[in-house]
Amino acid sequence: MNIDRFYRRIGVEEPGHIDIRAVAFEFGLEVQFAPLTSCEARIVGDGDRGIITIRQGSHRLRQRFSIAHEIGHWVFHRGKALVCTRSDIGEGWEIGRLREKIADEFAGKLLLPDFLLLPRARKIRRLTFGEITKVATEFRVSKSATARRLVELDLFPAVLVGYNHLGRRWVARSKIVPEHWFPQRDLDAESDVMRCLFSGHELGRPTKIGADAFFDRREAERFVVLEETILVGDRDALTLITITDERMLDDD
Amino acid sequence: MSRNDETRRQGIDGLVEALMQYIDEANPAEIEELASRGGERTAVVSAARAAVARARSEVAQRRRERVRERMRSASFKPTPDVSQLSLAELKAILAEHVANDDASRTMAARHEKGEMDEAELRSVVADILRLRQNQDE
Repeated sequence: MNIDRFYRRIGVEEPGHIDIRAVAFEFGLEVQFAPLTSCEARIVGDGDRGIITIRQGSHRLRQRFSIAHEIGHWVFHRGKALVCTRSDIGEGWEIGRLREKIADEFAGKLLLPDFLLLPRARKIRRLTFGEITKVATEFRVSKSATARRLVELDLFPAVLVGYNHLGRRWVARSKIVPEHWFPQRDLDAESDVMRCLFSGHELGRPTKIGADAFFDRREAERFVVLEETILVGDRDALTLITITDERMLDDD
Repeated sequence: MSRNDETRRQGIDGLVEALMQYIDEANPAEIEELASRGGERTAVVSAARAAVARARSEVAQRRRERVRERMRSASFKPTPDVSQLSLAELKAILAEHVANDDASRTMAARHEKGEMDEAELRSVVADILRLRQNQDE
């Protein structure tokens, strides 16, 4: 599906024009809010019509993302049941996770479409959470989702890592950064993310740190990277690692 | 909206798209040539761009208004009363709806799954039955 073309068809020219309920409507989906207890959102469809239900009282940005996520299921997974109960182990964890990933990626592109995001991203000299916050505010999307989209545009030599107290949870990366620079699972005692997670306070700016704090490779100790960490949700952190030494960007 | 209005709008949309595309993709030498006939290049091109941008913006605004209008006038069926259905009946309706069949016309998904309580089960089934009513129209 071409999201940019879709938005042109419904007259979207600026981030403020993205009315996610109107988008859902264009896909034949009604959006309602209800006191859900088992999940954040759900979608039920039959033929070319569907109903998205969003948990009442959730954060507004989360609700927007959930609607976009369910539209993603509608676009990619129609005709495939995804409701799991305890007695229904269905298709297994891996397939389920892949579908969730597809819906998440679609949601990111729906809320931060290329034709609106790229011109803004190209004006950013160095990616920081300050810049990410500006974009997130303009598009009414969470910092996490915005950071992920910006990093995956492949314009910045950066890796984004989601952490909790136990260590790395997920990674999003720019293709500019060679794959052998993959963040290790464990938290480094010297890192700002460790300090941030355990003190509950953000430093509020990027700091220089040895690359070996994040990358478990022999030559990592020769390089310095920029680390910037913010807290998200109750107990998670988001770390932006920016490669500043061009030698790290060599493929070999 | 009359059919003539709609046809005219589609015509304007098409014209704006064509103009935008032309100005964005035209060979600079060609623009130069056109400009030399019509006046100073920069002024001509910027005036044309501004006119097209204005037209495009107006078209986009009308498109957004049309979506809002369609949303306002859309009529969804009222939620059916499922309070009299037994737990077994509710589960049977849900099981039928979520049967894992890739050719199925039905679908269901949940984001961040937990165990559904009875109230939520009733609301899912109400959604399923409401959609069935729409399909039966």
